Amino acid sequence: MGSARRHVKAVAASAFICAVFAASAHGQSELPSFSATGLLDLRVALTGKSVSWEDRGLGKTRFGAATDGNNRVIARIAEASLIVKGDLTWDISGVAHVIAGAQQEHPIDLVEAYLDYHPVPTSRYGIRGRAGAFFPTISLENTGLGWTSPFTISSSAINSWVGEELRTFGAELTAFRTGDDIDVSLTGSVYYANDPAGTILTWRGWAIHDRKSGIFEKIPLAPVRIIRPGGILDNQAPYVAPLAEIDDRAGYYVGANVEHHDFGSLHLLYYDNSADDREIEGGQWAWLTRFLSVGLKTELPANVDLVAQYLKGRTSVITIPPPTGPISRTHYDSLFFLVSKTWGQHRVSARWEHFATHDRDRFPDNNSETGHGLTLAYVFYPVAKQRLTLELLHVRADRPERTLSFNLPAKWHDTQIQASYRFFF
Amino acid sequence: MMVLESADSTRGCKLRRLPVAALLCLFIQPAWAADVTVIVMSQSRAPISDAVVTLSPTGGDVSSGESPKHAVMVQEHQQFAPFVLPIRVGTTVEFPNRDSFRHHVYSFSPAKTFELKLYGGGETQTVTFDVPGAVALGCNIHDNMLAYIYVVETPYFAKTSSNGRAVIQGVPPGNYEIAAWHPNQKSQPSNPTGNFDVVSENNVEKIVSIEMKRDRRPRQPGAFDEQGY
Ligand SMILES: [Cu+2]
Repeated sequence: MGSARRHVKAVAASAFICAVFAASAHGQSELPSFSATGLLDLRVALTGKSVSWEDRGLGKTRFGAATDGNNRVIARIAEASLIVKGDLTWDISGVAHVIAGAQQEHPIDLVEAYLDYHPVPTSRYGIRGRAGAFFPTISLENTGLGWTSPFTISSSAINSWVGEELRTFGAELTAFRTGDDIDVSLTGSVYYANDPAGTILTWRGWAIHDRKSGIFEKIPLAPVRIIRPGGILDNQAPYVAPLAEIDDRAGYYVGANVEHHDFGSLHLLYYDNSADDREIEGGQWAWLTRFLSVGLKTELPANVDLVAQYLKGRTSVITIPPPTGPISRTHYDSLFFLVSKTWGQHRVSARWEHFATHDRDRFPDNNSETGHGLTLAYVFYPVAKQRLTLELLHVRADRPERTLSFNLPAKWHDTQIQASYRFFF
Repeated sequence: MMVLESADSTRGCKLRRLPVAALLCLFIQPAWAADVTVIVMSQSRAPISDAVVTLSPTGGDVSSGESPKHAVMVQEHQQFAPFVLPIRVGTTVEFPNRDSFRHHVYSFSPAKTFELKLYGGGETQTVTFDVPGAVALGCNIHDNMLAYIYVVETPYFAKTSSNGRAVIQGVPPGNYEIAAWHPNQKSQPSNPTGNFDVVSENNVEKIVSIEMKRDRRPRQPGAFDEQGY
């Protein structure tokens, strides 16, 4: 049933349009007041040698070959983001993140659109809440404007997946305690939509990139055997609309964050979209997706920042009673460590990551993969609100389905080199 | 923990060795007042800036002595200034917003719980602080904004500058308890470190060491490494 989905999206879109119109009519100080920030990212990339998933390949990098084995140079506007914030009262703000890009299915789309309730704390204990469409509080890496990473161009495999397949359509409430040394918060959320999350992780696997999907977006899928005409799941559309509502059943997540003012932050999140994995609508299956994420951010000696995150979960579709079992079930996990050091206007970062999926069903496709990624990035801030980033990304992976579906070697490695120049406003 | 390390250094009033001068000094005792310099250092002997040093007359009579009745905590460039503002009990603090945008200043500290909704462009509101203690200030709109007002009973107080030195001027003769406070001090509230006498207009220099904790929370607005540019 798509009525809930259409309704939520219509509300989000109209809230945003209202905000933009009101923004032009009001000053900065009176309420409601509106402000806009954003970024423009000009990019040159020496692509990997595999075809990117955006061109229906199984590549791991955002920019890939036109045909497998031949890399190329690509120059384009990689991101144009506008983030409008409207303070409606002293306690309630509206936030809308609009993204424009030629690679998107819709040239203009929404990344987030939500209301933020933040009453002033009157004791050590306080609450805040969000309602609308937004990223779950999961990443200690994507802390930049518009969910970018201040360290690299490409997010870790974990947060790349969050950027493409996860978005909360619902409400989130956080209760916190501010301490002299430690701040603690507990977060819970109930949401609709986000039922197809897990599709791309199963049939493409992990990827390492900076492409955030829009709320209305459809992400192309590589034509792996199981979804080709005649395949067991050939009623799957050749794309995933990750934020669709299929089963009209609510999902939830619960999380905790502990921040020691000196040592850093520890973050936990348990996510369960509670999907009815026998439902399909418009070519989109509801995938029952659950995971646990643990994040850590601290400072090592010599002022080296450390960010680490581990995510482990499972996703399945069409659970038929044994002995058949689910038609597709995948377990997945990923771990990264990122170290970074800043000298004045310069920052150097290195990230190592492991990623894996394990095919746990009886059907003869093979969605298992194991792989590693190494990302090296140099960031330079020549003047305020401009940022140059050079990044080298090297990925190695082993995915048998590449051979079974496309007659490509199961084991491969790929290197992508990017230069990005960002203007912030 | 704080340690009072030394009490030495006599400067000024070179006439004190002369009996006549000493007699004269006694005669005009009410006008005597010394400048007390206090150096605040960390456990690793680094100078501590933004520490508040207080001298409390033994016996607790803090009614005498002059101190300003007004102070200012500015909001400008999405920051509070100063980071630490020491004031005496009863002082009224002005909060001018010199930014073009709004600030929502609040505190839930026991010494003063309040909130101020400040529109941009110079709007000023005031708060009077009647209870001694540390008041942590935040802004409900800008998480990076953080400052402290330290409310003291004694009229004899000063804040250390970047070299860790604070000069308390015009301290009359008597016995004083000395204490130092800093927002990142390990033991809160701070304890007095000891007593000493001001016996003449000889200036006094004291060294106080306090144990500090680190606090990595960002305070700079829009700093590229904190705001994610
Ligand atoms: Cu503010």
